[in-house]
Formats: sequence, C-alpha cells, structure tokens
Amino acid sequence: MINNFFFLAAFLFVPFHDFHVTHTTFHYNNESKSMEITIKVALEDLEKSIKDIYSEKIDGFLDTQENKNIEKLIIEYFRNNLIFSVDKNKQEYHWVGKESSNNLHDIYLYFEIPNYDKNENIESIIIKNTLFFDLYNNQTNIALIELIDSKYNLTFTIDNDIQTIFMNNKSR
Amino acid sequence: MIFNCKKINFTILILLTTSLLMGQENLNKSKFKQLHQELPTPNVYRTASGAPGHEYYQQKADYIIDVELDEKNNILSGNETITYTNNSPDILNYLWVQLDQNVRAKNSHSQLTSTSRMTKKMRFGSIRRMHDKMNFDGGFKLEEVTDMYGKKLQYIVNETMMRIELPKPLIKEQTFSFKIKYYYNINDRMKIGGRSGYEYFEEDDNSIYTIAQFFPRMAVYNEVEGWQNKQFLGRGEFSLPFGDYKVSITVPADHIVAATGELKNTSSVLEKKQIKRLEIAKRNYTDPVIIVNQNEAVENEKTKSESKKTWIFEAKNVRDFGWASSRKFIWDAMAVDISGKRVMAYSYYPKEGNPLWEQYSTRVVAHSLKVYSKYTIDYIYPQATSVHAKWIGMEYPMISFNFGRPEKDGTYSKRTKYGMIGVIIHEVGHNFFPMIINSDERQWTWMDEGLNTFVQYLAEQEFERNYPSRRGPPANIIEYMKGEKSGIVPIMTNSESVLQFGNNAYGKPATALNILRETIMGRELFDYAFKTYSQRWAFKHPTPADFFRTMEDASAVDLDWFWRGWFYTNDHVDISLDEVNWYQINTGNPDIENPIAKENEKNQNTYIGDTKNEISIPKTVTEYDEDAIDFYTTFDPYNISILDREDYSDYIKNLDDSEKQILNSDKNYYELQFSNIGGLVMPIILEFIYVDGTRKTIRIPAEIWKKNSNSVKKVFILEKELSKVILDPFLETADTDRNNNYWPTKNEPTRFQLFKQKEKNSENQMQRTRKVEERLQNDK
Ligand SMILES: [Zn+2]
Repeated sequence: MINNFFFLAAFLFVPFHDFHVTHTTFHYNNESKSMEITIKVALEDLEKSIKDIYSEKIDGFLDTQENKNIEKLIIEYFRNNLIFSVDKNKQEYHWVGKESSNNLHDIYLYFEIPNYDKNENIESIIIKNTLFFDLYNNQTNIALIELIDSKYNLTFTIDNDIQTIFMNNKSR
Repeated sequence: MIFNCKKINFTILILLTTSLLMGQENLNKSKFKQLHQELPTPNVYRTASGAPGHEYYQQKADYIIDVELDEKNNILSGNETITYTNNSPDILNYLWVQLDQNVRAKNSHSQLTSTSRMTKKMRFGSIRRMHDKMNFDGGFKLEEVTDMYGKKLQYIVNETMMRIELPKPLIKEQTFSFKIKYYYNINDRMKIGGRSGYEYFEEDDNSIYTIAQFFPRMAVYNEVEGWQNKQFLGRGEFSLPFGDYKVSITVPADHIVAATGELKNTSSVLEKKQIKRLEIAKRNYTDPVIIVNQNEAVENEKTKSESKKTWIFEAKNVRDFGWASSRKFIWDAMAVDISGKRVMAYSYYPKEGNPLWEQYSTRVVAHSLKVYSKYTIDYIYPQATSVHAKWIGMEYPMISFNFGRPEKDGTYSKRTKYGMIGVIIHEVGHNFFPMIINSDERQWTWMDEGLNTFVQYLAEQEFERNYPSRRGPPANIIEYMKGEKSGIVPIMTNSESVLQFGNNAYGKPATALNILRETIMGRELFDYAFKTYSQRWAFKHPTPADFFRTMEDASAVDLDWFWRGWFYTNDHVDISLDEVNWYQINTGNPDIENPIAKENEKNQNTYIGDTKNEISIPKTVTEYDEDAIDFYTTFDPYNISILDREDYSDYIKNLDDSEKQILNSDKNYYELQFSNIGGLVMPIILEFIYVDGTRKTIRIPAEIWKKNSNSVKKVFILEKELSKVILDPFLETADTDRNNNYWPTKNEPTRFQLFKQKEKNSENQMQRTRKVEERLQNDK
C-alpha cells in the first residue's frame, strides 16, 4: 500500500523529475590498480533520502563547502546501500568527491577502492544495490562494471537487489 | 480411417511448421526496410502523406460548467451541461465520459495495479502518507445524470470511465446534451499527491487551489481507437475532444482566480485599480505590469471574506479547462506580439514564490510563446498563464501549474532557478503539444512529451546561451541508451508500459528530433517538415504515423530507417573505427619507386645486435678481403638498370591519358573500416587531421550501411598524409562508446578521472555571496 503513494508521487514530478533511475560505473583502472566508482543520482532523490533518514535539509549543499556533516551522511548512506564484494569479502570505499551535473539535475558521487585485488583466482563479484528502494517502489538502479577485458551491465530493482557476476577463471 | 486421417494431419502439420520457420529466417530484416508493415494503411481519414484525409472528422464537446469551491471543507461541487456532436459517419448508441478523479477513489484500479512491496525498514513519514492516502475519500460523487428536461439517464461507472446510454442512437451531425451534478473532495497535494489539488500554508492559514480534471469529460471517439476508453491509471494522461467552454467559478470574494480562456465579467470581480493596471499591461510588450502586488496580496491573506464572487470564463476550441484560486495570489501581466496579434502572458504566485517569480515567470511565458510559434504555429489563444505550484509541473490549455520556490530567506540555488524557467517553458509549451496539436496522451506519451521537450530545448537555448538543458543534446542520452536492454523499451510503447519514463518518453524522442535536425536532415528541411506537421494537425488528433509520414513527405528524406531504429527498437549507437589502412600508388617508375623502397628498408627498425656490431666489428671479412667478394656481395637490388627503364616505358605506352594521370597523381589512399556494435545505423561523421595540422570534416549518410549494417569499408583519396582520424567529432550521434572512435586509438578519460585531475572546488553562490557582503558590512 505504501508504495501506491510513491507510484503517484513519481509522476508528481512530471516533467523534470526523472523517473527514479541511478547509474553506477565500477571502472577498474589498470594504471593505478584501483576500482573507480562513479554514481549518478538525481539530487532531489538524494535530498529526500537523507532528509527522511536524518531529518537534514541538504538543498544547496553543493554550493557551500562547509557542510562536512552532510557529506558524512551521504558517505554513510552509500556505504550501506551499495555493497561491492569480491568472493564474499566486502570492499571498503574511499570518498573521492562529488560534483553537480551540467544540467544541475543530478549529482555525481565518486568513491574508490584503492589497491583493488584483481586476483586471477577471483570467482565472483557480488553487488548489492538498494539505493532509494526505501523511497520509491519503482526505483531502478543500473550498474556497469568495466574490468580490463570484460564488461557487465546489471539492473537492480526492488525485487532483484543482489546480483552476482561469475568470473571465468583464467588461471588455467 | 481415423488413424490414417490423423497421420496425414500430422504430416501436414510438420510440413507447415517447417516452412514457417524457414520463412521467418528468410524475411527481410534490413534496417532500411520501409515501414509498411508497422504503419497503418492510409485511408480517407489519414493519407499516406501524413495529412488529414478528405473525410477526416473529429467529434465536438461543448461545456457549460458552474462550480463552487467550499474552502472550509475543501469540497468542489459542480453542475455541467455537455453538448456532444457526432461528426463521425458512425451511429453511436452510448457515450463514454471520463471520471479522472476516480483514480483517487478508495480501491481504485490505479492503486490496485501498481505493484507494491513492503520494505523491512519503513519510515515514519512514509507510513503517515500511506494512512493519508488510504483515508482520503476521493473520486467523483455523482448526484444526477439527466437529459435537458431533467429526465434521468441510464449510466454505469467502470472505474475512471462512465458509459451513458443514449435515449436514441446518435447519427452523423446530430447533437446530444446532458447534465451532470456532482461533487468531490479536493486532495491535499502535499500529502497524497496529484496533478491538481491544494497546498495549505500553515503560517497564514490559506491554501492555493490548482484545480483540474474537475468535471466529467468526454472521451475521444475516432476511427483509430473507436472510443478511447482506456482506463486512467496515472501515467498515460489525457485524450480529449475540442469544444467551447463557459465556466462560472464561485469562490470566496477575496480570492483571485486564474483560468483557461478569457474573463468575461471583469468589472464585477476585479477592483477598479486592478482593471486600470490590466489596461496598462495590455499595452506593455517589454516587461510585466503588476496587477495585484505583493503588499496587497499579503494584506489580503490576513482576513477571510464570508461573501462569494463568481468569475466567468469563456474559451473557444480548447480540449480541456483548468483553473487556480487563492487569496495569496500576486498577479502580473504583459502583452506579447505573436505575428502582429496581441496575446497576454499572466503569472499568479504567492509571496513565497518571490523574488524568482516576479522576475522570471511572465517573461518566460512570453519567450516560450514566441519560440514555439516560430517552430510550430502561431499561438492563437488570447492568453497563457503560469501559476506557482510547489513540486509539480502540469499543463492545461492556456494555463499551467509550475514549481520553483526560493528559500525562506529569499535566496535560491541555481538548480531552483533553471528548474523553474525550464518547467515554465515546458508547461507553456504543452499548449502546442498536446493542447493544440492534440495527440492521444493515453496511448503515446512521447507524442506530446517528446515533441514538447524537443522544442523546450530550442527555447531554453534561446533564453540563455549554454542554458543547462537537461534533455536534447545527444551526449545526455548516452547513459540511458547504453543501459542493459531489459530495462529499456522502444519509444513506440504504450504509456503505461514504458520503463524509465523520463528517458523513454521525454529524453530519447527529444534527442532523436534534435539529431534529425542537426545531423540527418539539416535545420532547413527539418524545420519546414516539423512546421508542416504542426500546421496540418493543429486543432486535430494526430497519430504517430501522421508524424512519421509528414516528416518524410515535406522533406524528401527517407526516414523509415531512422523511425525504425530510434522509435521501434531499443538499440543504441556504437560505431567503431576498427582499422585505417594507408596505400599509395606504385607508379612502376624505377626512378621513383626504387629510392623510396630503399629508404623504407633503411627506416625499418633495426635489431639491437646489428646496431652494436656496427661499432664492435670494425671490419668484416668481405670488407677487408677483396677476394671474398662476388656478384651477390655487392648487388644492390635498388639499382636501376637500362632494362628496368625499358620495361617501365613499355608499361606506360599501354596506358591511356587518364590512367597516366592517376598513376602520377601522388595521392594517399586510406581505407577505413567501421563496425556497427550498437545496432542503430547512423551517419558516419569523420574528422581528418593531417600531418601538417589542417583538418577536414567528412559526413557520410547513414545509407552507407544499407547493404551491410554490421560492417563497412570506405576508401578516401587524400592529397595529404593523415595523422589522426576522429569518428563523431562533434558529439552528434549519441555514440555510447567513444573509446573506439579514434585512430590512432585513444581512450577518453572517464568522468571520475577528470574529476580527480581538477580537484574541483565548489563555486560561490548566492548565500555565500551574501555572507561576504555581510562580512563587508560588519567590517565597516
Ligand atoms: Zn510535459
């Protein structure tokens, strides 16, 4: 029932609010040996989510640098809702920064897994993506995983929030 | 006998299945195949050229509506007379009327059919909203449905649709009038959402009412859908016939009312000074004139009148009616010149909308009318209104409800400003699509949202250079297009089944049109065709085929491949520049070729041991012992003999003049190989950068893929040698992977890497600037 409201709420934002899609790219950088994570979300969704959980207003937080507190909340939110595990070991993210999209609608958040272990014996990567599922019933999260010679394109929905990529074991 | 019979049947069946399978494999799957199978067969109503046919018809619905707003209880009660004219050749036995308010009725289908799930951690706010929504007693309460003599009509309500039985069949050119008396509870937009409703302001105990879908409305009947009585579930918006409206709106006497159409009883609802200001505004084409100013509005909020006033509006040839009412309204107005005709631009907003609204709203309305008139048809309605409404952007004929609220301290973020300007352009733009060019929104969201978003982009770019447009440029759609295919459906999908609504129905069609205009057709051909479509279908009901056909018909550009790829599939663009091979002509002349060959051999990479031996072995045997030398020791294969020259002149003798010319032209031949990874065929746009630094752009139409849509080769004859080749150098095709667009190969840095490089500092904005100013003040 609760989600009925959100179904309605979704088209309330016609036309400017996008219909609840986030994009995440995990890009392995072979030079720095790190996993670079770029997350694009609608600023409005992020505001709403942080506001609902922490009762904080973050409108315009991009415009002022001083609000480190809110940055902490954002980091916490993403660490809890976007989990990247290699063979069941949860990987720790480091905060890199954030910037507004040119059209002002979205915000890009950057995280990094330094010294990403690109071991040849890795069997699987498991991603759990629950971004904004607490907010919208029709939320869709898209993730692109770019390793050196392979790419994976995944879609997460409320009914399908964990996905596993099985690696071809190349050691043999 | 029976057994045999069965056996025979079985054999036949197998044969049939096999041939069917074989048939499918041999079907024409060319990406350039014409759309004959996808588009409906042209007929007397809709021609093959995309224009209305000679027997095109449409129904008419005229309304006389009296409504009264009960502000204390948030109830709207109404009485309407609908006069319906059957212009179709068909005999109608019943009428379908839309009851859109029923989407908010308890247990409505829209609530039941939206998939839902409980999450483990429910938030308090969410649960409260759930309760608000469940407890709200929405939907039309029908009191009477009668003919003009008060005789009850038989009807049945099926969710958001009502079927009224006609006392006798309605034949061509006959009209039927009937009355509906009703009321409904107005929803609190802030609590349970909706395209219309009220927003309550606790501070001064007032509301802003933005009212729409407030009366039972006729459904469309035509030769495409019969009755368009597809239920309203929430997304697929409206499908409405044109007609004339007379609407009397009774509200508290101290309210200001904005509405579709023209106010007919000005002197009985407006104060003298307001009428005077309005007259001044009618002559002012440069900036807005305030009709009700902020001080007056703030004063007005403080008390509540017990008496009532009725505002009477009339509108001709519109498909719907919307209005807004509040005692909080500030009102400004300005005249706009549309091809020599005066149109009024109005804005209504509370003090909470300032300073943004006073500065921008009416100006943006005026700007939108001008730009849209240029690209489509002249705006012919008498006015266009923008009403301030938190959170939503929603359109009705001549009136729209738009978001954009500054902070309480009067500052606002850049996003709020451009969001507001964008939404006003967009919603005013909806006057053209779908209010005038009246497509069926219930069926095809893209036909109004996509076309409107496209012109919105043009209007934004004319408002301010480098306006931060969200949709339009090809680069902005890439993230969507390259996504996993199960999350993407073709544009040609019914509104309710569209996935990723914003990208699918707004972004992608707007981008596609932009690509047609800039890359495929060119501005001149595109603009003419787009205008032709608008002119042909203004005040009519177009379908997708009418649009597709007109764009071709008016331009002589075969676009079937484009519609097929961009509108009927979920393919994306990813063209790869796989190989660049360089050839030069061998003239055969030993005096030219031999020194080149010799030079080439010298320039070959040398094995390190050979280089070291040059120094470490001062002399080899053949270098110090003459007797160790024979013919082969000194033979130079590049030496030119008399025989070589004779062979060459024999060869030349056999050539004609044009062949000789080619032989001596000294041109560079480059063979470029491309593959189509994404599936969408698109033009190949190349930038050649020569070794001397000069550049040249090459544009190859998409038809290069017509025989092989997976891979093509193309040879270029160039005077100069190439140093670089870039595919899609001007970012115009929405190519999703640019790392295969360069020769020599080059990886573009990712957004992440760019960000890390620049160590971005956020910019100063209004609040920050204010702080600086305050600091300066204090220092004084
Ligand atoms: Zn729209």
